[in-house]
Amino acid sequence: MKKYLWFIPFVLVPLPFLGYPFLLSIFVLIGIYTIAAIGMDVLTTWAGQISIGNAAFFAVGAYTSAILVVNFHVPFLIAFLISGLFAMIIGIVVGLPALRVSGFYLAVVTMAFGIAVQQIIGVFQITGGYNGIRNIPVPSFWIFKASNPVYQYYVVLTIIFLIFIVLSRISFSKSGLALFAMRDSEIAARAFGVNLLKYKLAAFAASAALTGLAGSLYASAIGFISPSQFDLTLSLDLLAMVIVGGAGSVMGVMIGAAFFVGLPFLLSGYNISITIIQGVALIVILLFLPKGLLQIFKIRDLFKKKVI
Amino acid sequence: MVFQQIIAGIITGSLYAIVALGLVIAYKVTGVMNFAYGYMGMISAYIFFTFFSMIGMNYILSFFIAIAFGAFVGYAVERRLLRPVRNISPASMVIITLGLLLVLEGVALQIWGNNYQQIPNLLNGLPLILRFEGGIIVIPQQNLLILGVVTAVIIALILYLNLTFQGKAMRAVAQNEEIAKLMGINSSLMMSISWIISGSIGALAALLVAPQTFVYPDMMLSLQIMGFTAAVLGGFESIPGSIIGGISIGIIENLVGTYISTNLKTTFSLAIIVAILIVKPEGLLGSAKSRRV
Repeated sequence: MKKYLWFIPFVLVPLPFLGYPFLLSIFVLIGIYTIAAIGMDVLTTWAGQISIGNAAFFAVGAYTSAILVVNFHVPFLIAFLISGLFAMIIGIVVGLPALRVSGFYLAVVTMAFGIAVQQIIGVFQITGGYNGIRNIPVPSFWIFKASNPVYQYYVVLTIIFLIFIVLSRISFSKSGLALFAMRDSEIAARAFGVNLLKYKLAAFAASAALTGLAGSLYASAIGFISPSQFDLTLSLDLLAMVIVGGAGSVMGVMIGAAFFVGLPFLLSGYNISITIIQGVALIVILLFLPKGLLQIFKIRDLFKKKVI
Repeated sequence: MVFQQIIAGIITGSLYAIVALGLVIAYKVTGVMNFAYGYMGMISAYIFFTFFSMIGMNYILSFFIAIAFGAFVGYAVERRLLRPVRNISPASMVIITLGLLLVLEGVALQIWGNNYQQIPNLLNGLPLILRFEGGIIVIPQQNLLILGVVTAVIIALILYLNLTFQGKAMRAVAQNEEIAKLMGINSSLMMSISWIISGSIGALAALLVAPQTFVYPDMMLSLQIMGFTAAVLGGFESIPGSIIGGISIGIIENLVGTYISTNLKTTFSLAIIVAILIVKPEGLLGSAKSRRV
């Protein structure tokens, strides 16, 4: 994202001044999904682990925050942090099997976790069963006018920026290098003294925490959550966002999230099934822009030799 | 009661088993894990619905047209979509099939809409009732049909792969494509055939399950998830593995649903499967692979 830092002051920050409140609430949603997709990116692109159950962390975050705010009247900021923490603890538990299984087997384990969480949420009383939780209040720390999308927008943007700073710090640190080494070859990494246990669990913990935080924001921005919102499709969408936008880059993930979240709104007037466009886009981008839509911005690369 | 549940489990499990088989055959020969597998079958179920319910054609004839269509979809996807890009990474191939899943879902929605379409059972006679000392077992005729068809398909497949020259050639390609080519085997043809078999099995599974689930764009979702889980549980490499994986998941699911919790059936079944995978990370019948650094 470093190359695109100009993007923040010149495009992202002034956006609200265009004055389309509806557009802004879509941007808020894009931002929230960006945070969740960054969580997926950390797990897949950084640590090389597969997960098709990340929707469960999203659900855990959303439900923790919603229950705390609605039932226990906890201030949103505290509920927000607790939901991230709780998702992180669950992420560590889910990460444990990853020490033994990999590839398809890990995919099945994470998928099982995703389906199980969705089903458990649907059964219990405190989560509102299959009806979900309604009327989740808009957080009170958005001081001025809480329901104003402009403030929501800046809050989400700030969180993404903070995550970006932390991640870019980590990626140049010793821990980041150890993580990349583990992704490239577990055996070689271990030979160089990388503690696989520590780094795999850390990757799952970080991914779960980010996704949980996004879930918490989602619950308060949408105001209504139910188990059907956190199905397998959401997990696969998060994965697809990372690939469509550009794996391993916050900017790329943001583009991917914008593509997946924004497209339904753009096409809502036409009588065409959204999944066809998403599916075709996924295939075409993978074949012709293997580094994601982000590649379009690197115009110089386009004139080089074709990748396929 | 227990026997009744085990029989029901075997019947659900046999459907999981053939879905697992279709996935494993395509995977072993071409190296692609097909995420869109269930949705390819779903399109065939819609083809059946179109011919049988909308045009009013004979049941059996529509059945075979739908399976032939499934075979064609399998061929087309492999030959036209996946073959030209074989050299990209396996993870990217999985994502391409994921994109295909989205496209197929959208196509079904666009053509046939979002309604649940009903298709009737082929056999609607009196259920088979077995009486013995412990109690009675009731098996509907449609379930007997499922069990019979699945058994026949599995036996035919085992015979084909083990006794015919073409089946042996296909196994050779699965083991090592380069050497199989050097031995004069047309590996391109074998790959197409493996997907034709896989596609028609997927269509068959969709047609067998359609009277119970109804026909709608997501009808195959749970069968696909469980079939994939069954394949993984069996080690993702052999026919016996898929069968054992599928049937054990079917039985676990039914017993859990009866004796532990109906609401959390899938949760507990998947928990048991995850526990098995943690103890035996390469699946029930899989072999531990050594990897190069």
